[in-house]
Amino acid sequence: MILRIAFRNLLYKPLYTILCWLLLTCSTTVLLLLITLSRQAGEQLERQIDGVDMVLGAKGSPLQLILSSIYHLDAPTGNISLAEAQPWMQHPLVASSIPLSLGDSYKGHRIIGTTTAYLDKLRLKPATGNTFHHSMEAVIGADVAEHTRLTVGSRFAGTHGLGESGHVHEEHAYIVTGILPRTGLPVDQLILTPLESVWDIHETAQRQITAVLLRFKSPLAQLQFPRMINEQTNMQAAVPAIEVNRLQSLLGTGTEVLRVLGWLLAALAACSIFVMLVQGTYERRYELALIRSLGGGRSRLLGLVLAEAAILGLSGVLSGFLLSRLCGWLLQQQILTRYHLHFSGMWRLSGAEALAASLILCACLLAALLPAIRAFRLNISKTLANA
Amino acid sequence: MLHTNNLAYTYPGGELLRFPDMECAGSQTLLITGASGTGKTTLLHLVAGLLRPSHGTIRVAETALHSLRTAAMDTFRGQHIGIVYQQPHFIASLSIQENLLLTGRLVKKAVSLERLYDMAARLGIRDLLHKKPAQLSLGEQQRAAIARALMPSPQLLLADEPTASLDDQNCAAVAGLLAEQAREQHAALLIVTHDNRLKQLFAHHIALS
Repeated sequence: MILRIAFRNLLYKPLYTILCWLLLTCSTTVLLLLITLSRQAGEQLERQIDGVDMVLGAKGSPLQLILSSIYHLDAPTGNISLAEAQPWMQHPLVASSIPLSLGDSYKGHRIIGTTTAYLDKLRLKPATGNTFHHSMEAVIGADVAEHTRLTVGSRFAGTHGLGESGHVHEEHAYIVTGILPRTGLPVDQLILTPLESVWDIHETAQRQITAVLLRFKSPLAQLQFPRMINEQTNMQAAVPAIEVNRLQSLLGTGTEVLRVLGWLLAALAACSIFVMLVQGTYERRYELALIRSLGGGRSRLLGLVLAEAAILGLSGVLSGFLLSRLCGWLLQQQILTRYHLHFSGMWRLSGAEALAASLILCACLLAALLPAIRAFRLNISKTLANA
Repeated sequence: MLHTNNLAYTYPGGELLRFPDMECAGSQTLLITGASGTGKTTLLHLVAGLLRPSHGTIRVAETALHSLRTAAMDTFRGQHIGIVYQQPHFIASLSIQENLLLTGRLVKKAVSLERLYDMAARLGIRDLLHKKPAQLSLGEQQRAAIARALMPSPQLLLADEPTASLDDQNCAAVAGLLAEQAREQHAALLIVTHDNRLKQLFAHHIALS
């Protein structure tokens, strides 16, 4: 009965109720979305550097080198000569090395000259067709196949540069030999081809590559290699783990601002609930006294006020949860695919999210505590006599 | 049904108010009259268990009301005492029907819908049950308040100035209704009022001074 009255009271003052509910929904959405996004982005960033201990490339920004060679986001820092990189690739402390050559694209999808070691590292085999063996053969990612409608046996010509427009290497056509299964990783957006294709198209005197992804046999190399390369050669060594940390701390500042904003909204929601209930219990003091005069105990009045806050809090947190998932899904559709981020486990509620949600609920109940105690201690005789 | 002895109440300011002893059996009506400021409402609140006396005893339906704890007092009031206030007030967000059923639900006393419809029909508010209190006229609200007080079959029915805002015709009607309903349910009826019109209608009165 008390729950029913609480519910009816909320509906009886719809404007106040909607204001509180909106504030709660917004704050929950911002906080949950933020927690999910930063967790998922962190997981994604770390999943992709898995198995890469060091990246060898041209001098420049180490972050740019990592972004271009692992995440396929930024422009490459430049090229290095294969001859210069080879001693490091074949070093006894190196477990595996994957050379990459970037520079061309097809309809916005990057064409990566590499070896089959790239697919081995991801433990990938084409879902249809075969892997590449010869120059000008290409294996395409699942998104590329969907977007460009290329199939096994199709021919296409690459565009110079990473943009949509540029010189088209029409005299050299690639042939698709295989299509990769969908992975949720950047490789879905890539076209992979042997290094020789890139060299055949660009016909330079010296064989050049853009970067090498290295995995070491021992942690000793992890300590020695970067310093040796950066000091003794005119190449650059970047450690993905360090750069990812740097990137996350750069993003962290922005996240922090949004997080503060989210909690401010939650505080505002709690304040509005407080004001609504203080005013409500004052305006309805006769009703509260009436409930007691009709046989409801003092604890019923306490429960009534707390129930109103709890109903608001629960519905706000629930709709905030749903909205945060909807926003996450929309972001996924609109923006994140461009950055090769793929979110999974949308409906899972993580520990941090559950904590934020329950903190918001606690804030609602805390805001209701003072009005609830006031209702509990209401002087019914005086209230009824003065009505 | 109602029996008070040596009743007195001390106001927070320290002023002491003594009340004459009262007795009212089932189906009987007792009128308490007096000018304003003579403690009529205080007496009603004492008998309803809304206030605690500083001296004396109140027995309602063989229960020593003055010795009950707050929670037990609230429950006892809901089960055995029906109160009609001067201004009919309701839970604004609930329909009249839900307001009438409220007491039964609060004290977990089963009330049949049949009884509700019967009571509403007798008080002429059968068609208003689905409406919100604010949609009713004052006279309709007054009748709904009487119905609410009678719903849980109380043994003591209290009325605080039930006719103050009514014209002569409605005054007689409401007073008659209260007395008739109380008689039918074998409840004791206690009316506190300064309305002289009621003195002609009821035989037993006690005047406060």
